[in-house]
Amino acid sequence: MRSLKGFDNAGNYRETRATGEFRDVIDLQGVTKHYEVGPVLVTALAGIDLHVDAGEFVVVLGASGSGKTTTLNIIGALDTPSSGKVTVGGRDLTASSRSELFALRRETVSFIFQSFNLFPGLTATENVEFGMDVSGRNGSADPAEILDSVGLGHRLGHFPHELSGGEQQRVAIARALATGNPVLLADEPTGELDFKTGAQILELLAEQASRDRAVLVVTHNREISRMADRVVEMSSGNIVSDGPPEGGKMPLSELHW
Amino acid sequence: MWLLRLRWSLRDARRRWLQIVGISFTLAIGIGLYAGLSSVTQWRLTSIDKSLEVTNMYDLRATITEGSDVPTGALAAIAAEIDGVAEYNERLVVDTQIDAVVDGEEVLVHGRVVGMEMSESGSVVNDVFLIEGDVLPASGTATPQVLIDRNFAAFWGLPTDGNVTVGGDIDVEYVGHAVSPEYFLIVEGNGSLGKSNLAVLFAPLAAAQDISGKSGAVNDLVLTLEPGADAEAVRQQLIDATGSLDGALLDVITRDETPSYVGLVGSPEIDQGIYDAISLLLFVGAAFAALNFSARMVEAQRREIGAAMAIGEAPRSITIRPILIGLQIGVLGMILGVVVGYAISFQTVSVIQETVRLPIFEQPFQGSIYGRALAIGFAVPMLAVFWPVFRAVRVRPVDAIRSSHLASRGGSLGPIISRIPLPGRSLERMPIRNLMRAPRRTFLTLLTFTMSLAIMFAMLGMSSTFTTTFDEGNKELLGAEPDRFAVQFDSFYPVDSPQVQDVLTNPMVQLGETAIVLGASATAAKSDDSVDEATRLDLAIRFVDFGSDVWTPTMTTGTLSRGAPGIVLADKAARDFGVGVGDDVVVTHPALVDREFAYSTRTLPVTAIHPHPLRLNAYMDLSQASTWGFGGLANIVTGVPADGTSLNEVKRALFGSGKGVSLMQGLGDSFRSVEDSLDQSQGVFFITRIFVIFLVMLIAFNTANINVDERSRDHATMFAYGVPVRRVIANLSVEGLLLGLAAVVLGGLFGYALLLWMALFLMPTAIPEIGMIVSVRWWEMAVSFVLALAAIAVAPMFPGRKLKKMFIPGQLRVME
Repeated sequence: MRSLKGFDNAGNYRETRATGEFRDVIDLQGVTKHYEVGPVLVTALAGIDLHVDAGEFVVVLGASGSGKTTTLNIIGALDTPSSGKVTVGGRDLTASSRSELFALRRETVSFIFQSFNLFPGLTATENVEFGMDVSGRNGSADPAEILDSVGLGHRLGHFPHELSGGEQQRVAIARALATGNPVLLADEPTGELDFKTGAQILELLAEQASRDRAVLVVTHNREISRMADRVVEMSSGNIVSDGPPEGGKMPLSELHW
Repeated sequence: MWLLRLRWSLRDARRRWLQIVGISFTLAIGIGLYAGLSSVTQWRLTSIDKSLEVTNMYDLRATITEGSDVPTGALAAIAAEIDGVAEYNERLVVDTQIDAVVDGEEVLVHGRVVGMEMSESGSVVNDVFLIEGDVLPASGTATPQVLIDRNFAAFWGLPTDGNVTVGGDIDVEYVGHAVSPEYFLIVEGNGSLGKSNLAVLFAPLAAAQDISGKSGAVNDLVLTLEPGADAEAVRQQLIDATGSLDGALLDVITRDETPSYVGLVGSPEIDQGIYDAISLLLFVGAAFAALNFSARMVEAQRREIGAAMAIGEAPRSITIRPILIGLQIGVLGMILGVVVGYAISFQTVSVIQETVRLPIFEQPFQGSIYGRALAIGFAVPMLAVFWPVFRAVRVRPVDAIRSSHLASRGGSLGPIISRIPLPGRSLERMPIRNLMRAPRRTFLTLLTFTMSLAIMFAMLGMSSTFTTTFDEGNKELLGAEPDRFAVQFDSFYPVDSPQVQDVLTNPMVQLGETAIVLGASATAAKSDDSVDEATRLDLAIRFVDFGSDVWTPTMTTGTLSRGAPGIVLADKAARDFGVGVGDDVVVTHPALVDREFAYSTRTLPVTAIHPHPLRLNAYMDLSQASTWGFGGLANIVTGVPADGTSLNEVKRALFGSGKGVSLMQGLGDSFRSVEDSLDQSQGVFFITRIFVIFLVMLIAFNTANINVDERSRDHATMFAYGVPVRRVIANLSVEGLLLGLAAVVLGGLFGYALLLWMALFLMPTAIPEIGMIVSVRWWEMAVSFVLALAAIAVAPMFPGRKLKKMFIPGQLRVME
């Protein structure tokens, strides 16, 4: 599984491209998720199929309660499906043990959160080092270079509370990149940011897909979906559409929200 | 509105019940320890007063010189003639040897028969109070019947009635356990007799005369004074009356000069000094912990407070819910504080009652003490909630509701300290970074651990200081012979007399040497030949052969000069006198002039200092005894049992000889009464240590629990990145350990300072006769600290279950 040695300092996923291994990095088949809320059984996912390849930039679009975050959580092994089969990075999550799921999160998926979730006690560099440490890539890349690649080469020793929201999100992306994992999962990554900053973040994420990572962005912002390779729209736990953005992929400069 | 807030805060309490109980308990230990220990002192003081009142302890006691006695009525006649005497009792007090069998084991100890007029209504002065058993019959019985002292009986577990052998051959039946004011606390024989090795038998005067073979004799008078009477004038009249006693000297002491009384009434206040120090430190530590934890609990609600502000709720109304949380903690802390206080009180009382046998022990609720402790205990969580609420309502609502990068931060040292570069990987740095991030919290937690560990250090140090002091003292007196003993005669005998020779030549005795022991007092001599009365101390001067091959005192400074005049003082005595080798002391001592005893005063140079901790012990060369009129005489023989002979066999053989032996005991008993009385301090120290360890665990548990709650997002993020739960717990443990290690260092330093204060300043006030040798048993200290550290390190495992069961998406706020 640790065939991820081929990342360069910028986090490019070169080995996968060369070997073709894990091209089908995400595969969901008939996945359902039910929650019991008191006496009521709530269906968050009603049996979805989803397939994402490496190098794809996918936006999962939907209103609140549509099931998009649940999908993201299941792909990231943060939650388990009620039924169906989930394969990420070649590993069947539904048949994996708890420790295997932890290992998957270390080695295959990386998260970017709406509220950044940086470690407040660690500097920007240390937050990035954290990503490298947990994925076992310590020493294989320079965290300063990774931060530089997201435009934060001048903020290395700053603590999260000393950074703006956009800078914090860029540190969060750098931390995710530092893991070198082939799947990037971003939950409303621009939710707390202004347009300009959000656009920069999306640009960074799109760039990761171009480096052969599978990038999944969950959002309720339809405008964002216009820059994706593919838009998966969800409603009431179902995928209601799956394809290129309506009107074709647009450059970032034409987006507004 | 209040009702809704109350319901809401009760729901808060239900959700956080573990934290609320934990904080309340922390507070309760502080409240309880302070109130509990302070209550005990009040109980003791009240009970001592009532016990002394009910037994009518004497104001003055007149004793005829050891070995002498006068006919019954002679002392009473003197008392009857003196103005100001209210009541009096003649007594016969005879030292002897008592042989008791306890569970098949023979207990051969120093004994004392105290005979006085007794009736069912009790004695007039210094009554004997029956604790359990039967009152003594009015008329004589075939076998003499007595009451046995409760201290001795309880120590050895004697039944309510039974038999003992007095003086080697007289069978005496005891029919109950009793106490008398001189023996509420046993301090006898210059400290060599305690509850374990002094058996006092209380008997009607006639029975005591029969048992001791002193028919019709008395040697002791106890009396009380009329209100307003001048004790000194009465004392002088008693001494002046000596002329009518056919050459016998009368030694008169007041109640305040009675060692057991001094120990009895003095020790509670001195103990309270120690209790105050312990409980205050612990109370402050617990209060800080509660303050810290409560504040953190409320700070966790900062966003909710912001939301309330955003919807227009008045700040005053917003404060209600956090205040109710403080109220819950305060009220629960107070309830638990009373429970803990009483638990500590009763544990402590049971320890104290083992040492001080009072006929009356009352334990009324100490309203003012508990009131004080509870008021502070209640105020602490209230203050704790006010601060974060005050801060929260001062920020703009928009800032308060933001949880991310725009949330208000406030200024602190955190960012500065956090810039210190650290080695290791990010995960390894995290515990230190977390500690640095919130210096105030870290400091408060450290403070509470430090105070707890300082108390533990001091308690352990006091235990080992006592033990070392006694061990060193015994080592000094015993030399290489653990069974070394002293035979004391009832008078001074020529060394070639049968009394002395029988002991020296007894086949059970080897290495026998004669000596003289005299009670004296001394003061430091001033340069203008006057004396410094403020330094007057009692001394037991022992004339021993400084050229002996068997035993001589060890010197710390100076030399033993055989044949030369001069005195060898204990280090503690020299310090209290303020003298050193070459300085003079003025000694007032008994001298034998024309076969009559008289008091004499002379100036002696200090020739050496010895290390024995007992201040009383002073030595002079045997050759100098002649200058005091005691040449060629002895009242002591020291020796060791012959090979194959036990100390008990020697005791029985020598005491049974009937030739003037009044006391025979091992020299290792020199601290017996102090060791016995310090059992209670050791007991209290032990109880305190248990509560301290419990408090450390509680603080560690609360810290870990609150950390887990506060950092749930951090932990969820770590889990999202695949960091295993065990690693997160390990990080929390490391964080605790780092704090614990810092607390060990600081606690060790503060604890050592506390130990020095207690051993070198407080204890000398309580027991000035002993020069404490401050000692720390490092291995014991290390084990205790390692246990405390282990408790701190293990604490994060308790909320580990919470971490394992965490719903990660919920904590990451990614759920829709």
